[in-house]
Amino acid sequence: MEINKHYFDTVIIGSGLAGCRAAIECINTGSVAVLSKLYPTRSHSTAAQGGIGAALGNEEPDSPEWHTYDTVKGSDFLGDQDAIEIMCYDAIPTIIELEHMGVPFSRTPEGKIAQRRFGGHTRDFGAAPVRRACYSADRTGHAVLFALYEQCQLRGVRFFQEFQVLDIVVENNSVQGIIAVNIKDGSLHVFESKAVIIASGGYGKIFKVTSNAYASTGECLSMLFRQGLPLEDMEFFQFHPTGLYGLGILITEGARGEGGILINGKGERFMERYAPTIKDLAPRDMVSRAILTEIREGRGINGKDYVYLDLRHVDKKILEERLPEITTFSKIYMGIDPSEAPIPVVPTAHYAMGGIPTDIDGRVLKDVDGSVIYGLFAAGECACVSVHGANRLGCNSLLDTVVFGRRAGKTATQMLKDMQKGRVKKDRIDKTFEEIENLRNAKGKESIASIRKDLQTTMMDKCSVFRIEKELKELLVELEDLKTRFKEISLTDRSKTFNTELLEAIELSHMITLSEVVAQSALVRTESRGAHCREDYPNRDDENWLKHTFAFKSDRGITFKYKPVKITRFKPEERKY
Amino acid sequence: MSKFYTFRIKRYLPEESPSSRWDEFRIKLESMERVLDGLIKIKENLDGTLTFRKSCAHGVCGSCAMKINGLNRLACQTLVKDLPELIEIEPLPSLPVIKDLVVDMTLFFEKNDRVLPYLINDDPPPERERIQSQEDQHKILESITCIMCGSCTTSCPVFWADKEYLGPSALLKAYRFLFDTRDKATDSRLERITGEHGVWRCHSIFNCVEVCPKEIDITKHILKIKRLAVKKGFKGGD
Amino acid sequence: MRYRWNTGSLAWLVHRITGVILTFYLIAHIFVLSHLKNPSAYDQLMNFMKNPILKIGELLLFAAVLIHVFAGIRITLLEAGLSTKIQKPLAYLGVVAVAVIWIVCGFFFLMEVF
Repeated sequence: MEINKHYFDTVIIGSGLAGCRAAIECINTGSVAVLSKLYPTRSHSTAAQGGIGAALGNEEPDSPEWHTYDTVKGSDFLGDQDAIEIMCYDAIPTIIELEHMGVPFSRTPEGKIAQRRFGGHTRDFGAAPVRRACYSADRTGHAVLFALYEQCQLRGVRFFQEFQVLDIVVENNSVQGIIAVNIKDGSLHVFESKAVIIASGGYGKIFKVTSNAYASTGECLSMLFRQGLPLEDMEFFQFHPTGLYGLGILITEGARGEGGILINGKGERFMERYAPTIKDLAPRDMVSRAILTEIREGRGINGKDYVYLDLRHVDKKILEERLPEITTFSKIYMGIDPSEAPIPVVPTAHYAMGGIPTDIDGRVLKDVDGSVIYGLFAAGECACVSVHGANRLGCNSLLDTVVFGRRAGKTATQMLKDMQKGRVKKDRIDKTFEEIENLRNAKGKESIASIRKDLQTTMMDKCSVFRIEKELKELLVELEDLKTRFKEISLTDRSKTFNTELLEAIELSHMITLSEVVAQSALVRTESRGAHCREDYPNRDDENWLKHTFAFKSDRGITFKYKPVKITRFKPEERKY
Repeated sequence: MSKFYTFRIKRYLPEESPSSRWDEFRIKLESMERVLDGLIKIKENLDGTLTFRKSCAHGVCGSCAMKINGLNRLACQTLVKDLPELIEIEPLPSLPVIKDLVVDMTLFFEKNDRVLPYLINDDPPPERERIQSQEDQHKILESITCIMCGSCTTSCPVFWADKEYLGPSALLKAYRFLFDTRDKATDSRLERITGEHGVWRCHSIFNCVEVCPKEIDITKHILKIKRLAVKKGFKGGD
Repeated sequence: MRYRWNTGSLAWLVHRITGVILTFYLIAHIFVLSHLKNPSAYDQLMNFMKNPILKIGELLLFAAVLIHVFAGIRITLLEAGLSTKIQKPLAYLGVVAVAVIWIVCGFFFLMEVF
């Protein structure tokens, strides 16, 4: 076995928004390597459509204070308010900086960054919707990702594309480096470093219907979890209300921000009943539940399992200029022109609020007491600061990635001079090598595809928008069974060159682990809050559950600890829109 | 409505054989399913060694560009109902094949690096955003939708003959910055792209426009670069 | 390498091919003319050229010229700033123009001989 060794001061896993933003910070003080299992600009950040939130006030008066309030309320009061405040106030300089880096934002008639309405974003603490989402048509993520990647190129960041991370080595309370495989030729690479920043994105692929990419499988979270590190608030998974029926492809909330409305089988604008003030622009958890409630009560379109997103009354010019991408998606995948016919939509698995717990500077926490792993950072969807709490507001995810990507990068940079070079021990490398070789030569009787399909189906059926104890318990039994079946998998591709089947096997094993954490966390939290809706516990329970869940791996299975929510300004109140 | 389709796929498995071969798979697909769905079904049920890139599956990441029935397209954006029963799939032309439908795109991406693909503006930034009119933003609107899937450059006969040629994708990237009012590096960028293998090599063949999955009129952008270069007196060639 | 033909690539290809043909013709043309030493040799050549097969050859040559000219005009117009949206109509228009001119001129041209 030949091993290629590298040393970089900072190693970043993931080349999406958070990874690239962190890299721009880190390159000032030392060498940086960014690893991506895709080509960098193929990261799923590129699929973000609607916008990136900041109270610039370009279109109408706005303030970061209102933004903070909206985010806190959107999170169903589970978000840590100190972190939320940082994000909403940092938003303004961060967006301006992005503009200076070259992001081609859409413009107002005066030439400033254009802004549009988005779900849950209001003025005067909930009075009415406000234009806060800065956008570049409906390709905002794409526009920002390219600009950041280009700035990385300008600054000389080294990219290792199509490298799959196999292990993140944490020993003696500090990070030592990572082990990865070059997908192209199957060669093993060890990256030793002082700091590692995980920016690997989400794991929506554990669900059957998702807006997430095939690459969004969350293996980095699982790698830490398996080493005994905690995962925070994993029960909170956001379902975006408007995914294309049958496909789950995202139709941006910006469509409703530009005037689109949801209608049920009776032709009613049903959101008026669920959120009388801001109607279709209510937060995603509420809209998703509303849609599924309509469907359950027989008011889907023709009694079927979808509703319509109606854009027919929206000015054609606005569709062309501000929503060209979703117009194309509807045309290509549904054969529907949104200006002529309504689009069939259903909720689609979209965003993980939970993830690797970090402090406000992106340092990975190893316990509820706030102690950290030295040199290990996380940012973006894979991390949980927590700014999104129980439910994320639209256009806060891109903001989260750039604000906390930058902060994690900055902190790493400041700590660099005091940090030791990491060492990855040989036995750890041997172990990783052995694992991957065993997998590559696996000769069982189960196929990856069938296990994955069963996993995604059962997660969708039993752990999506509505959850109930009985089903969650069944789910956990099924997951045990899937774990057993995974031990019996078989691969047909045994080559070293671009072995995507092997990668899928690695991803699947981690997806099962993550699903278990999600299901267990969902079972434990006996209340309904934000995106986590327990039908057997329909109310929010602040007395017992105003706290973050930390899931740990132990010999007895998954155990839980809890961390109090940071509440500074806004006391929990009933959440009405 | 479902129907049987025959996928005729050009295979190259370097660890098995040094030469390529054609494999045929017959699968049932719904009319609204995509070529990518077909490939995934084949990989899951018929032949696990079949290799291709994929990620977003809805035409925004650019991973799954390949030659389908003689044209470069995204597998995730091509519905089977728009194709005949026999679907012939090859890797993108004129790039080295790594395995099956996966090509080595290093050469393609390297071209981008040659056009200074980033916003350059050394003026001290203003406190707020740089002002850009809607009209000025519209000038680059089409060019910023590029997803760098490689369909255009690998469909260009000039690139087939001259691997040094920058190609439509990199030239479009150059346009994106040349015509961005916030960028200040017009001259140095023009200097780099008006050389022997640069913008003058484009013969307005329009293959790139035919295949672009984002429907960008790439040739139009290249012609605008040519006119700008003429106006500024960049003849190049040396 | 097989690749599906598009209007633009066909236009480009015939432009190239006719260009090469015309180049060779021009060389041959100048070579022959520069070797004519006296009036009788010239008359002899002219008589030889009245051969119907050569007449048809000349007609084909004329077609090549026309194709090359119109392909060149199309590209020049596009480069000068005419909308690229009409690149295909322009090509079709060129085909029609070439065909009409060739047939009409060819008719008069052949009338001279037969």
